[in-house]
This record gives sequence, C-alpha cells and structure tokens, in this order.
Amino acid sequence: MRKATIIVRPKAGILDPQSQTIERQVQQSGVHGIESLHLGKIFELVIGDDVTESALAALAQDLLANPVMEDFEITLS
Amino acid sequence: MRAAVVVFPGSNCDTDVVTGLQTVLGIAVDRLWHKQTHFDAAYDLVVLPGGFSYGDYLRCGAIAAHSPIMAEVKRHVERGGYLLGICNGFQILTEAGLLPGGLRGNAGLQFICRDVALQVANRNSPFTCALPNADLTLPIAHHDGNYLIDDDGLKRLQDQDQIALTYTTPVNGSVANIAGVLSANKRVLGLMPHPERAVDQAVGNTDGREIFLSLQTTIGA
Repeated sequence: MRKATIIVRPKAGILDPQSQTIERQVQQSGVHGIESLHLGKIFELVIGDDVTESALAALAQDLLANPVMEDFEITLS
Repeated sequence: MRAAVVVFPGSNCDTDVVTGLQTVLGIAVDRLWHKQTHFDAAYDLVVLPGGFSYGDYLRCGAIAAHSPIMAEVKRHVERGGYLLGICNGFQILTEAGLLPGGLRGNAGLQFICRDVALQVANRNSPFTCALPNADLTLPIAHHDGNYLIDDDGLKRLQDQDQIALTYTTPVNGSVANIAGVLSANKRVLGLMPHPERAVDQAVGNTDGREIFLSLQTTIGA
C-alpha cells in the first residue's frame, strides 16, 4: 500500500481572515521571528497500487478542493 | 405550477420553503429525499433549502453537491426547469457548478443572523420580475456567505446581467456585495438571504413573497 497526502490551501492573494487571526495570535505568543502563517487542510490517503496521480488530481479538483478559492498539492510516498 | 424541495441530511429550512410556498402561492410542495436518482419531470420549480447539509463537513454544500439527486437536478435544469438555492442551497449550487463562483467564511469570521437591506440588480429575471422598485429587506443567517469570484467571472456576471441581488452595504465580505446570482439562462437563482422566512405578516416582513410571486408570474398558476 502507498500513501498519498493532499494539501488544500486558500489560493494565494485571497483574503483569508482565519489565517490572519491565527497569525496575529501566533505573533503575540512570545515566539519571535514568525513572518507569516497560512492555514490549510491535509488529507491522508492509503491507496492501492493502481491509483494514479492524475486520478487523485481529479478527485482533488472535483471534491477535496474548491478550485474557485483553493489550490491543492499531491505528494505520493 | 408544481414545486418540490430537496431534503439533504442536515437541511433545516425545507419546512419553511413548504410553508412559504403554500402561504404565498397556495401550492403544495413535494419533498424529495437526496438519495433519489430521478424525480417527476413535471416539476416547474425545484428548491434546494437552507441548513447545514452534512454538517458543513469539508466545505458548506460540498458533500451535498455530490448527492445522488444532483445529477437529476442538473437534468431538470437542462429540461428548462427553474431551480432556486437558498443559503446552504446556494452553496450547494456553486459547489455543483450550477452557478459560478463560491461561498466561503464571512470576512468577520462570525455567524450573521439579522435582516439586511438588498438592492435588486436585475428586475427582469423569472425570480425578480414582480419585485417592487424599492429595496428589499430579507433575513440572513449564515457563517459562509462571502461570495468569491475572480475578475473575469465578475465581468461575465455583469455583462450577462447575472447579479440578481446585492447588499446595500457590506455584510460579509462578498465581492461587489453580491447576495444572489443567476445562471446565464436566468432559470437558476442562488441567494444567501431567506425569502421563505419573510412571507407572513405575523413575522413582521413579507418582502420575500415577491420572489415567489415573480416565479408564479413567469411560470403561471
């Protein structure tokens, strides 16, 4: 069995008030040097040998991410 | 006019739609369960109601947009049927690709539950043709009503007169204050405000009646 990780995050440049709020809190946390923070989602999949990366991309495009507002990134291991 | 409302797990405004249409138009509304793969082609209007389908898991409306009934809802639109998505129903329509753009968390990160003033941007659509000239007031109740569309998409909406309603003042961060969007053929409307909650004088506001009366004017009794 292989593992696939799909990361979904808001598209760059889109106003993301949730990340901004967390970023402000993190910057007040006492840990210095944190420049920015972006919140995303991780989907961890266990997949059979015949699942292709293009099939996963289609799945991400159709369901796991909303292409209007989110980008995704697939890692196979 | 024959109408039906689709019920998904977590829908909670289906009864409001049934009662609203009964009150305004005096027509009975059938309920359709989301697992149905077909429904009667004689329905003129299908409504996707508000609520929290599938607990808003993944994204609001994302799972419901893949429900078995949605393929038939798309066929209903291809047959020339009218389709109305209210609140969560609007989110489902964008997730299903039946309307352009998307809806995400309100800019202020808060659930907003109050009456809002709305400007009617298109008065010629099947859903808005009977609306009075004045602004409308309708209730909203949502956490994810922040309408997003890219610049090209917004231009297409404007060029094709697809913006139905706008908030008169910024409410939730929506691009161009958009509150309701029409399909290119104007037979599909998605909106965040709840017209079905404003049809009876007993609740102090009947501005929502005109949306349903517009449909009746278009479709016939």
